[in-house]
Amino acid sequence: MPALARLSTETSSQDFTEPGWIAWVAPPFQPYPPALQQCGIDLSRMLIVRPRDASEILWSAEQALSSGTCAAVLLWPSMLDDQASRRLQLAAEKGHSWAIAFRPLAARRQPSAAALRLELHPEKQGSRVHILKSRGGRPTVINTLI
Amino acid sequence: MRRACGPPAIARDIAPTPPAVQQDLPLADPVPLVTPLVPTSVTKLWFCVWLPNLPMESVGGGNTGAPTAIVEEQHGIHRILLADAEARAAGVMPGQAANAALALLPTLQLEERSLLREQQTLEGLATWLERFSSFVSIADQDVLLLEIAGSLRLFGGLRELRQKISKSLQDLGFMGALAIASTPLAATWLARAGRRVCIQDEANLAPALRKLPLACMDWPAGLCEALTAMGVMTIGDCLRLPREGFTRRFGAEYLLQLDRALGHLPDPRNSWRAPERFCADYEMTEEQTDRELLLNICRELLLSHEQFLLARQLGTQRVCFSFFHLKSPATELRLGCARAERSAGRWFELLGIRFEQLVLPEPVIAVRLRSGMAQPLQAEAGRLSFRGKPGVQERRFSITQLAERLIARIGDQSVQATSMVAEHRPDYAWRSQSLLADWSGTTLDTPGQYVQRPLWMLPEPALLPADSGYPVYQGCRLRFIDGPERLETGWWDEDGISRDYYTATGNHGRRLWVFRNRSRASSWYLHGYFG
Repeated sequence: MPALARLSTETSSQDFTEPGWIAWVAPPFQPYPPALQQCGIDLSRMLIVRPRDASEILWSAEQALSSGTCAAVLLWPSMLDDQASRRLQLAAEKGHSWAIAFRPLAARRQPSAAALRLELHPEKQGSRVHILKSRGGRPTVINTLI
Repeated sequence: MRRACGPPAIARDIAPTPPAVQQDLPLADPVPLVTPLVPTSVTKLWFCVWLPNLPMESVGGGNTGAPTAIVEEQHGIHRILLADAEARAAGVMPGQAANAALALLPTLQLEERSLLREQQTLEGLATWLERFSSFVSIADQDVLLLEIAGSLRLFGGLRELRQKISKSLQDLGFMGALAIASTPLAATWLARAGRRVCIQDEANLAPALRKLPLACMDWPAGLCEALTAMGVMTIGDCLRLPREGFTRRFGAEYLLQLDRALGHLPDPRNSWRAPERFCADYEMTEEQTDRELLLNICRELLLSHEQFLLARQLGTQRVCFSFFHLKSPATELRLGCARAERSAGRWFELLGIRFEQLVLPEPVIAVRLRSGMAQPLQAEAGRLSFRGKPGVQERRFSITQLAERLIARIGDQSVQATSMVAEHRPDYAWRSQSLLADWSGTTLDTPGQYVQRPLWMLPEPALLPADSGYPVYQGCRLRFIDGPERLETGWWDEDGISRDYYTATGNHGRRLWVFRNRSRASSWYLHGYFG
């Protein structure tokens, strides 16, 4: 979840002409606006999408990514295979956007086309982050405590 | 000396006022005994379109190839009202009984006259003619009036305009008699008499009208008969009759009509305003399952929808397609747009997204397009870029377009924007709104809260089990790390709360937002998760 904090700073100083939007695709609960505002996220540039099934989640995320208006797209896919992650990756590159897919821990063995894969474990003093994959980086597992 | 003469001069100036009062009399008193002479201040030019064949044209007669006639029931007998050229050649005449006409021409197709259809056709035509004038008036069952003085320059003069209207009427399949005059009634009468004239000067009105027969005024038959019996055959004869006697015998109304036609009295008209909603049907001759064909029909409907909105400089946020089936109820497809939109291309794009998923239970027999409330178009601000910065790509589409696409596929309720509400109760401190609403009006409150709020809210607080007064989450007793924060407010409505909120954490490291109701101290609720 520290990614969200980074995301909020990313948004406020985002585009030099006009900040982009943040799309939340199929969040597990209601993102609570007062908390988001405390993080510095501009609420008027938030889009919450609640698709009905797995394919619609991917479709919405792809639309939002490739539109070029969304600075970041957070998605909670119920299933994400290799091919779908590849599509999202391409859409994000096309729209100059940033896609973050939150997936259950069980999905770490699945292959994915994402440029960076992190594994988060909540700890008493924060979260432990394992870097599973980093494009262009060393393919090792690093334990970091945030 | 002059000063001494002043008062009488003023008195002379005042003197003409009594006649002015008399001039107003005809308006107040429906019996004008003196010919009023009030010149109209603004020159107007009325273009009259008379549609003598409207009953036939409105029911789509003449397209089948067979001779057709329109019948109307008069005193219990169906009589021919109108017959097409082929039927007339066989001797079918207006006024004949339907049986007599069938005896003359057994192949004759009879159509019942439908005043409703005529009215609809006329309204459709009036709407269509609005492109030539901002003032179109439906004057009678079969008469349309356009005020064209203001349109002359735009359409390149009177001759051009007349040709354009005449040609368009022909293209639309209407037979119209056209006439132009400076008063609406004169134009109507000239058109009914079949004179293709243009009388711009009011002085020429009386000579032109004089020769017209009584029939073109569409006065009641009894009145016309009485006048004819008196040897009055034309409008000119009418005008020669003494005004007082005419009023006494036939009523003031008809004299007023004559005065209005000649421009002696003002003749205000109501401008036709088309309904601001678009509704059009496309009926097919047989049931269709071909989705490609259906899409093409939808595109055609959208194009006429665009024309409709273009004439008003309006757009709409919603359209609804209904696909009618023979047996089952119609399938509806609703589309929404974030901003008022009229472009057929954009609607068609949205339609395409939804149409893929549309399940049609049966073949389709007709398609209807209804538009939502029309609104003024909202222009979208484009970005002015001075130099193309490398690496920055052009946006494929704006956020509104993205929202529209998402809404088109997954529904209005599933795509939301949020905003803050100044409210202490956590459940009410925010609000989600549809993107189709006017979101530009969203106001942002300054973040004035220094207390931490959780990132994730549960839709409903969840009851937590308790262990000796402490809440338990996933089998583990929670420790409080922050709190309590007492929220006690909302007593003025039904949803008042009185709660102590705590930030709690368990062994798993996850921080939770829990609360306890002050009234029932034993039960704990989970209300949110901190990220």
